[in-house]
Amino acid sequence: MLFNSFAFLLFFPFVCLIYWLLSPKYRNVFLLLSSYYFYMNWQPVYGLLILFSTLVTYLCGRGIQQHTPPHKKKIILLSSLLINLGILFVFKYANFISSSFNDLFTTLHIKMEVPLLDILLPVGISFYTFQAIGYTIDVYRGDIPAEKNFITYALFVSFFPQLVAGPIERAKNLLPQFHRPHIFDAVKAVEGFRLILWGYFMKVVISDRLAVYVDSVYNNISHHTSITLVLATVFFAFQIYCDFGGYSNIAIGCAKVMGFDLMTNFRRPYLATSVADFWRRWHISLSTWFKDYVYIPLGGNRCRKSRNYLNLFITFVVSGVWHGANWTFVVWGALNGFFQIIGKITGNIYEKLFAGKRFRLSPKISHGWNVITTFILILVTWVFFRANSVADAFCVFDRIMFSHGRLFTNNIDSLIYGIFFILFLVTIEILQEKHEGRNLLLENKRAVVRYVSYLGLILLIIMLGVLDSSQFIYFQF
Amino acid sequence: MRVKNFFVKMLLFILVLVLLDWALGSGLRFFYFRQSQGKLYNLTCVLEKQTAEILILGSSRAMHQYNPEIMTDSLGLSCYNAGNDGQSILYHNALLDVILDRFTPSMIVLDVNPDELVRKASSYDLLTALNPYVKDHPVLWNTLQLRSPFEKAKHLSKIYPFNSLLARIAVGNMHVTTKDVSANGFTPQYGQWEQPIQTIDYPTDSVNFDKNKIEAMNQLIQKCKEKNIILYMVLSPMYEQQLNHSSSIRYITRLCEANNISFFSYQNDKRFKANELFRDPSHLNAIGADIFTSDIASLLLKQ
Repeated sequence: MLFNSFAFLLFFPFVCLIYWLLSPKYRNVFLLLSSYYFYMNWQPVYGLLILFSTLVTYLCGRGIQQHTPPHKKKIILLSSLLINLGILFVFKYANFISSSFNDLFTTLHIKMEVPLLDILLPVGISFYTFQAIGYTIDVYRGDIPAEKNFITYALFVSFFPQLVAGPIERAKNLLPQFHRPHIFDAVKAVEGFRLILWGYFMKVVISDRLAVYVDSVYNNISHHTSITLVLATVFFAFQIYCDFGGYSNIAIGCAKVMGFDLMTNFRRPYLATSVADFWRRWHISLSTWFKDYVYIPLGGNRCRKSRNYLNLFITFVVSGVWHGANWTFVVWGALNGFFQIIGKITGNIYEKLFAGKRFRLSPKISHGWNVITTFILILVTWVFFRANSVADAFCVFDRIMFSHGRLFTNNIDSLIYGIFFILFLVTIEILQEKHEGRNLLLENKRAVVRYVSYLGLILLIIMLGVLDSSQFIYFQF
Repeated sequence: MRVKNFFVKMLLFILVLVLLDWALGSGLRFFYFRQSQGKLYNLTCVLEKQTAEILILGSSRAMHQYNPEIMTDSLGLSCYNAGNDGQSILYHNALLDVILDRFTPSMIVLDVNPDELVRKASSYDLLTALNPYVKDHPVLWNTLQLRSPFEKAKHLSKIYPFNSLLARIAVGNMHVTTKDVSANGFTPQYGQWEQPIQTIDYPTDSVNFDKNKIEAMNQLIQKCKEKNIILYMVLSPMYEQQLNHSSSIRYITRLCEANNISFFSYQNDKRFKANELFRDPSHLNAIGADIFTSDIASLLLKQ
């Protein structure tokens, strides 16, 4: 079930109502059933897959807790990782590797073909697998005790607001919340509804509107000129932000209405002053996951500089691979790692060069300059993320450099709305950045402004939103 | 905030929202039907005003390629181009439902696409073009409910039928010239395609056929038979070297044979293989459209 479908608009109030009316001891069972219903709406059979993954990690968690010899703990942990990553590999990467081999064989004129599997990628598999793996590692490290109650644990893995596209929650944060009896908190519910509203606005009014233009350009890149491709790439940057950020807001908001606090996933990423800062603001739940379970175990930054750079690079390449089974994502991840390494090197040089010098730029200009250059670097990486192949991505750069001509205006509505809403969003976010993250429309101190904003956004969504339940980009991961 | 207070505020909020939705929706409806030009106005003409003897149905390939003036000159019959960007047989069949309530054209030219019967989400998404009319023409529910079982519930909002149309309604109410302004539904395209011709090898299986589209095609044929409307189907020219027939075209050819309908195919027609006649591989430009319309009109005259 998609958040932006009409079915969800019926499902969520119904679940909320029953949830709050039920006695606390039945609530987790009800939420678990609702979550499985929510998930099995896509492909009922994949409910079994999530159940299997839940069973494996639950039993491994219990096993790790019960078996004191460290080598046994390690074996159980490795089995859990192997099974979960194995499932992820089969569903997500097996066909990619087979086709890569087939391409290689064709290039080398070898008459051999690796057969492809006829399977569909289960929605959100990377998200819930990583959440379950994170739990097992935390139990192994002794950071949390293993969960005894299977229902509670199954709910932790499949909690519907964040099941298919995160935030990838940590057991330490979410599991205890399933043990606490929740009392309806009107203030929290209002906060939740605000996030849901802003999330819908980002998704259906901004992201899906931009998608119309981006898709028409990126699906025919060889027909478009420099200015069109640059604009489509800028649009894509905001499309993906509003798509995924919007989803996260709806997820966090839905959880809040039911009394749960999920972690923040986005914090105005395009106001970042460096690529490293961008990753502290973008998909925070995934970047902290990679930091905790990949980067730090590799040695993090408590090692030689060269080793630290390598750790960073490996982490981002793995992050790229996590995003999708395509070389474009690998290059995207590698570029993000590379830009951060360059940032670390040049940052040090900059500090040494300008330490104590009088001709430093004023902080405001320097800040603005950093935001703009970071945004341009991120745009470069988005070209790889959006292009259908690496060759297409290079074609985009080639045409940006050498193909001059008119702006593509066939989807003039989307173009005008797109530009207007991007400017609107950027203005709101700049103000939010200055006011400690407070949304000056929805969280305004004056009730009139708040209520007018609520009404305005809802009417805008109905009037200008793309209401055809289009997919969320991150569902494919 | 107390719980009771919260729910009272929420109820009041919903009440205000409903009132605003009603007011804005009514305003949008007023201005929608007050338009005097543009693409949306043309659709209103098709459904509620025009009484042309020849009706052209189809997607953008009908809209940009059939010049009604040439048809009228050649055949001596009035003609209206009811083609609409991206639309499929689901839409054409729905249009005919509404039109036949009002009058019966004597001839229909249905322009079909190589993927006409293939399942595509966009075919259902684009049916929203009919939303503003369903209130006055309830027969459209048959088609609109193919989109989702919740369509009637969505129409409880008065704004919803006019979703995404604000800018177009505004332009349609102003007397400015845009490229979709047309007196007879035909909107020629200008410029020419500069890329080399491409070779297309269509998949031959029919597993992706949409049952709703096949049913709509059969319904449209049946309605024409019942009302004695002469129906022609046309596969208009494309700037492509097509190696085979698409599964949709093969199916449509068989359907035409079975129902004694003339089917004119311009697939790989050598007269239409010059890039100067095309705006893009799927659309003739204004020059190409006039040449093509003259040709199809002479074929219809022979019939």
